[in-house]
Amino acid sequence: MTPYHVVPEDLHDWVRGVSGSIASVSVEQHVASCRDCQADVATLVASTRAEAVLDLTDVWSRVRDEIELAPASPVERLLSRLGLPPSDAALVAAAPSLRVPWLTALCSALLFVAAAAVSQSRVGTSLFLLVAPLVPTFAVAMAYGPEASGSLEQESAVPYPLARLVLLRTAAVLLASVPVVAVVGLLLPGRLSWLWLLPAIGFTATVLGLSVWIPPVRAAVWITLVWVVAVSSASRMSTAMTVLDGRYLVLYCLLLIAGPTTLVLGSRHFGTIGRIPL
Amino acid sequence: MTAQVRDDGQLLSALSDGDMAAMQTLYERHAPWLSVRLTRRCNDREVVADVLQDTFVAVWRSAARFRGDGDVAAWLWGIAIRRLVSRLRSRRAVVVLSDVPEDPSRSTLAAEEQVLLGIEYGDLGRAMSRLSPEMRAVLQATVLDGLTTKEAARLLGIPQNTVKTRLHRAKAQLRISLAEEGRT
Repeated sequence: MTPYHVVPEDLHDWVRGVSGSIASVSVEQHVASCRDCQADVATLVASTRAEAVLDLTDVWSRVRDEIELAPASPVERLLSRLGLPPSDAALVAAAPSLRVPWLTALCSALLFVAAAAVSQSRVGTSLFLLVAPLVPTFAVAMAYGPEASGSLEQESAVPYPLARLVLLRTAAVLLASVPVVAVVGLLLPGRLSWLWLLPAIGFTATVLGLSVWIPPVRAAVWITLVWVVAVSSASRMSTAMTVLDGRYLVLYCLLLIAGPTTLVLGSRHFGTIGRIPL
Repeated sequence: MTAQVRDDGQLLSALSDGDMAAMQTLYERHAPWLSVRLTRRCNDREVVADVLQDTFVAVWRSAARFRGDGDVAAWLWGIAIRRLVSRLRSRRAVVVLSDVPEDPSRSTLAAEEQVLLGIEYGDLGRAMSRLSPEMRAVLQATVLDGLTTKEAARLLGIPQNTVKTRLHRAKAQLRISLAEEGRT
């Protein structure tokens, strides 16, 4: 330690920001290396009028809050980098369908479908057509249904526009699940490789719309039943590709428009989403 | 002071084990002087509070990376001043380096001599007082705060080339003043 210390008046002036620049340079250089003077500064700051110095207690509580929070997950960091505010990113990333185990299960299931689709063309095509649109549908239903986790109940207890959360999460989940299916779809010939997207987003939208009245996972189950019946009867009559005829495609587009509209209007009107009070 | 008082290095190594009490001690010891020193670089109270918060959060997260042999206070200041610079990049805050005129009637000179008599400067302080405020600001940002010319340019809100020119001139003037002082 240095044998010399800053004279009290100079230290006092420096803390209040009224010392000259040369004096403050020497004070700063000394204080940075002297424990005793650092302690003197702390005492001075604590005893100086509030408007002249920072509220260090406040800053400390902010520091503590931030370091006690769990560090942001990779998904959260990615979403923040894409321009989503941190609070939104945290809520979106909490969706169960964005978790690694879920995505792993999804990928392995699709691998089987892909194997079938590549080896046996007719059955494989039907299988792909059956499964592909349901993957995003369930992904979205799992993203915010009360069955999926208790997290939405906590989230709905805080003042946050729930319809916004649901739509944001839907977008994120679609971004995560659709490309996986799309890669498998590329292995298939013709229109099927991309046309499955229309029923997929149509059903997703329907889940959103129905979630005003019933839990989203149940909505997804109902859609699955209808879809299985439609695809299997179509393949029995002629070919499974019938469900991708022009008139049905219009139906999917209508669903796509109706679903989110119902969600936004319905959540305002009924005050519920998936029977959770807003 | 008792023997139980941990020094900064010990506090930092405790931080990497998640010791919140050590964190608080470190904060109480260093936040006051860091806050005053930052306030002299930026007159926006909110910005300084944010920078101080960021600094200690960064310390918490990177305590393990601190090399045991260095000076903790200097390390902390290095983090803080860089946080301030990057904060100014994202938001153009009004920054002034306070330049209160020296008051010759005060005891400043005596105190300064006391301080400078130590290992810190020698005659540097007196030589610095002969520089223009602009050159002094550049010298302070680069030599004393340890910033690169690029960072100093951002902090002072002037082009990087200007920083280089002023720094070059300031050093030349300092050499001359110090040489003169050596002769007298």
